[in-house]
Amino acid sequence: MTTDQTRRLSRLVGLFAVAGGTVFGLAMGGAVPSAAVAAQEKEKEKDPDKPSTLPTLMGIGQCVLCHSTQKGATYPPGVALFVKAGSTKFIRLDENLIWSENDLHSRSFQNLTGPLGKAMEREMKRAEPGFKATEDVRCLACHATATGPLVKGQQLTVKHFDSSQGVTCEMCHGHASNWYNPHSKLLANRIDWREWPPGKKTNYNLIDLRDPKVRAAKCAECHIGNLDQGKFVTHDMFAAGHPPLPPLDVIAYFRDQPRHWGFPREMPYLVDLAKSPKTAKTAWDVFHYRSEEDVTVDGKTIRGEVYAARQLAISTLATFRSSIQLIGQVPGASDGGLDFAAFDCYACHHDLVFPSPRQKRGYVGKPGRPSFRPWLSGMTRLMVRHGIGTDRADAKDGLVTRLSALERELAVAFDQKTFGEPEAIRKVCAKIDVWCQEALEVLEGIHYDRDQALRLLKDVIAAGRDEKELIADPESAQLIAWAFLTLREELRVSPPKQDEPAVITGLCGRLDTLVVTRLRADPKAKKKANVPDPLGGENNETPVPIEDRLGERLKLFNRFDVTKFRQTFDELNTQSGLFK
Amino acid sequence: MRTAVCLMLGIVVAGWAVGSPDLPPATLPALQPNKLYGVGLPHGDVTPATSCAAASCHGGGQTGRPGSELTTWAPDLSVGPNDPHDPHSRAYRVLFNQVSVRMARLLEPDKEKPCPPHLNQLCLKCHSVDGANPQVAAEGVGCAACHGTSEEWLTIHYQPSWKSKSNPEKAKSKFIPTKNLVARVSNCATCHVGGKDRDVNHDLIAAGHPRLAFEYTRFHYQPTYQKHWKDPDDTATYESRAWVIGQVASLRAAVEVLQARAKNSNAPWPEFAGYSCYACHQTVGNGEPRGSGTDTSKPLGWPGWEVWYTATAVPAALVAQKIFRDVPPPQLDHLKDLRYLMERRTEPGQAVPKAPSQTDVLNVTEHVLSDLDRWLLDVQQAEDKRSTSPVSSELLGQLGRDLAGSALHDGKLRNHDWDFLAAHYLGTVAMYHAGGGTAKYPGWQDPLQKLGCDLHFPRSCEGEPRFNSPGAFGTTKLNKIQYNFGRLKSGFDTSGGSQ
Repeated sequence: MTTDQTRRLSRLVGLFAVAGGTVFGLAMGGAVPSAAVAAQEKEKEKDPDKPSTLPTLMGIGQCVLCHSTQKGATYPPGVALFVKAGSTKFIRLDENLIWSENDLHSRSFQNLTGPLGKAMEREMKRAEPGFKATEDVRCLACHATATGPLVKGQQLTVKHFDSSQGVTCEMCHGHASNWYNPHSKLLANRIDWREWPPGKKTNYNLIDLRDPKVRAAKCAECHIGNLDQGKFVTHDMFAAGHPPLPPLDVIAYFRDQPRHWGFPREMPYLVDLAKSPKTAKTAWDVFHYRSEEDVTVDGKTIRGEVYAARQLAISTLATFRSSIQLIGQVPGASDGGLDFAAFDCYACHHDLVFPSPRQKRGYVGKPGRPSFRPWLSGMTRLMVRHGIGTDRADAKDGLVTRLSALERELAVAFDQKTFGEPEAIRKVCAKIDVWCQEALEVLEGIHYDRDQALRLLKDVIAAGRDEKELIADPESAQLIAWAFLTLREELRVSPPKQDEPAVITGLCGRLDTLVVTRLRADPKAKKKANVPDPLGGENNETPVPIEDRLGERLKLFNRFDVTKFRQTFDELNTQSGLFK
Repeated sequence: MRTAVCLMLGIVVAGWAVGSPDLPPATLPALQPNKLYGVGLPHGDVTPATSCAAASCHGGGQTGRPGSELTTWAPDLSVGPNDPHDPHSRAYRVLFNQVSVRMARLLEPDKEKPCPPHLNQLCLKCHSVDGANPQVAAEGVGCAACHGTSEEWLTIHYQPSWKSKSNPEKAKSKFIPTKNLVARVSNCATCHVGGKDRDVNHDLIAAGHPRLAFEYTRFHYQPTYQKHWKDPDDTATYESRAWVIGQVASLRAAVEVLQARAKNSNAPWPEFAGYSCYACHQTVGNGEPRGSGTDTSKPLGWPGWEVWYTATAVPAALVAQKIFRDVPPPQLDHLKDLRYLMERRTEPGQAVPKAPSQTDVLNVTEHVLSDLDRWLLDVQQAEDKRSTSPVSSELLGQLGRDLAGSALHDGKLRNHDWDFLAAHYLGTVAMYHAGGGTAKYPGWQDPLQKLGCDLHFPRSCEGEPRFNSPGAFGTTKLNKIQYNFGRLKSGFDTSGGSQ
């Protein structure tokens, strides 16, 4: 494996870990609140260890005591103990440094007072003269750190937020008042804590960010939205200047994220745990991780799993589920129906031309009625179609057909009225939610070995060239490109590692000119941060301000050419035999 | 198609102009109009256009000459499709072209055999004479569409007594006196804007129908439009009257369409076709807020209602007051209420906005229609009496400056909406031409040309689809537009400018 590959891989793993953490946290946050104390008391009867107090914010000040240690520096005495006991085989200890120097989440609050934030505030004031971004809970819900889990029905005020440092550790990992002590102070039992089952940690509100579905749901709370938590970018906010929320592919985000975590394969503790026949089950049960190399148990060879393939498939489903849950929440906020932000942005936001490619292509449902975002279900269908093609196909072959029927039903619910038919939308979303649960169970049972990952890669390539796929907008194309790049990168680094043929590298380079492939890295801004990435990651440049990133990205986005995109995937398809 | 209706109207006017001197009848009848001549006519017996085509009547065979109105209207197919003609004559044929056929398919995707446009009554209302039998419908927007069905006046309209009849008398026989600008333009608007049973909604537009954006003087003065009539030569009075009547009559039709939509509980509400197209149909910007401007009454994230027809309502009322001095100007208070209802969707702090109430909208549209009808009827009567006073070139210059100025507020663009800016531009152009054009106002030519240029949709390279929307309508263009409206407003800059 080349250094480059290692770096990318490690980035990927890190992203997964972060996302996982985030999701878990969210899930936890969501779980604890409304039924609140009563439910917690009931739980406590079953689990005597379960804390009886609601989780609250410890604050980043507590985390930096350990997680702000530069590698090779002199460790403070407390930390030295951990290091001596092999902690760095599992974590990095410089997490806070990376986050504060390189991670965009640490800039999220500053964005509210930057040039774009100010311009947006000016516009919002037209409708709401008293609007102040730094004090408005609709902004703070995602741009600051909440003092406790955000729950449905809560009347949020500025007092529920700590705005000093943006989105800090506990927004993703879970508010720490209950788990802080067990995870750090039980030094003698620290391995015990580490290997506690995820459900038990969840009771303490530590979010299981290593579980891809938990992680994707956590990220989706802000990056898609969650009205129960007061997180929703309305169309008014977009009109005032909020940047568009790109479609969420957690794994692609991770690829470009400066990692404050290690991919499992970079962490010796996890590699050993998964490799050993005795502990492989623990690695799976606790860390949702299977060895990437073949393991022989009782004379039987279990093929290594391609890590990102599983992460991609499960995250896609979980993201779809979060999006559908949000759509189901929106009409509940008003009888008037959906806010425009719940619709496909590009159904309306395109330049009109004659002859019109949209009219030539045709519409799903009635013309002139904007619908839900087409990217939502496209990748989901692909992942499930791939999934039921495996040996777990047996009883579940109706899944894809049912999804298509539910989609049509949702399209009708969107179509009936200008803002959709609220009751019908709520009903269909509830049905799709049930479908998601079933589909997730199927995908979770699949062993994504190299053959499956290759099949998935080829399915993704086929989707990119398929004339029948409604790649109506660059968002769907982006998701296809991102999924392809994830799998391509992963297949290069997972065993058996191999060098990539130049023709593939060339075609991937062409993709960079057609869609936004790098979410984070700006080739023009290679300002290296003070913190070198000990795991070899390359995306550790200082964050480029949103104002500088957005313009170029949207230019590329707006000049999307579906014909060239399809041609590229056509050529990739011709060369797909090179992926082995 | 839009031009078609105007052309037909023109035919009528021309036919009439041929035989009648431009003098008022010796005695005005007591009969006063109590309805608009050109709106809400009952179906009648649609005579084919060919029955008007006798060589001694309107088929003289000499394109452009009096007595050859039908010849001028119809293309000479022996010459070829490019022979100059009135586009109204093509209105039926376009129902067979690729776009129309595809529209039918897109609009009824579930049907194996969707209703073809040439048999679809909704299409035929405006692409032929409403109510015509299939044979006559095939003539397109023929004579009767603009001049009225002729069963009651066909045999008398060439008799000497016809000329002595007043317009109200003629109108009683379902003849539309198109020389009366109110009659003419309000009839144009029934198709070019719509009416209670004529709605080019967003489904139709998304399926391929062009958007409707009617502005009478723009249609009237299209250089390629072959008129089959001649209008009075008094440019100043004529064009300024035509513009202001066009504004009010078109707005009236837009409100009538809205009223029909508000009554319909089965159609999408609010209907997208009633909102500013390019407020939504623009690519997502890079954080620079667009579609705003200094008009703080416009809500965020929501397109303006019928901006094309409402943008210049206030300045048009002022122009109306100056030009029709004996007629009280149109009242716009209810219109203001209506705009508020249609546009103000989000209450402060409300997470998700609400749609406007159909009942409230219905109530207000009745008031607005009554306000606009009152003015139109007064002016229709003034037009009949030809009692409009002459308008001086200086006054028209001032009105043009006021119109340009009303695009601005505190020196900045009041609204960034393309429709808003284009409507102001066209109004200013109408006053400029009416006031004597470059001969009288040499300094206006440059800023007007630059405004026209900046408002023009982007030009595509050969082989590329052509733009049907303003494209990159961002800060650079808006700043130039602001500058040039500013120059026109000041009225003193004759230097030609540099932007």
